[in-house]
Amino acid sequence: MKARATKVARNFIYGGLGFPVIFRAVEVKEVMGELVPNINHRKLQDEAFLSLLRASFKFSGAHLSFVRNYMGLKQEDLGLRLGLSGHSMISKWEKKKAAATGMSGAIEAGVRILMYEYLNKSQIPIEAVILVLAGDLDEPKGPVPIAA
Amino acid sequence: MFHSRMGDRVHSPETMRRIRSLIKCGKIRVLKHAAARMALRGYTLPEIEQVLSSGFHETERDEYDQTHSLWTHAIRGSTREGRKTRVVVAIVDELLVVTVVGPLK
Repeated sequence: MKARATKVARNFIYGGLGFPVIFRAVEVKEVMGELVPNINHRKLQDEAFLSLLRASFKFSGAHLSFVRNYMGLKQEDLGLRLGLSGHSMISKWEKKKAAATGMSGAIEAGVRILMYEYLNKSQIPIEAVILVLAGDLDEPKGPVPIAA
Repeated sequence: MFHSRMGDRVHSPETMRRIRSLIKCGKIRVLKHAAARMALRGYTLPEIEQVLSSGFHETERDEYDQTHSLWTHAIRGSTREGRKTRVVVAIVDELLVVTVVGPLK
């Protein structure tokens, strides 16, 4: 079985991260009868992490699970770093899957600060964090845009 | 034992070595069925990579896909949270995630 030649697809939706992402334009190729993005998936995960960090919508359970696993944290580790008593709230939020986690704006802002910290960003854009703190975010509807 | 798409048999450790190498290089693709399973079961790609990197090869579950003329391999492992999971993959020049089964007992 050989992969066919690549082509460019526009507004291509891909679910391989565990939640949908959308590429405005991406090179795709046919594998086992279906189109897959012809991009390095390590880079894709890096881009998805950045897109979620800058997102103006609340995290879904899948987003939270992706972010936690990307940072190499267990549910308990993330819970403790957010000042929670353990893993139970993280587990509950992640089980929401495609729906919003339901965590407070303060906790969601805490997650994003941890994400900045993970990326070694010395300067956290305080305006973005305040926006999250205020809970002034959209519901997590539709795929996450990826700038690939 | 590992079956390549040409039908050659290679030892299972070679399969795992290739899987880990392809993950490390980012040469992994998730097919639609696997993506649907992941969304349904609440798995994300870093978890699937964790299972594949730390799991073992269930050689008795390998199957030959006649439609696409390649072998699929079942890898069983655990996520960071200890969810036992089976990931079925095919190896071409990259790692194709065919389906995800779990959590297992």
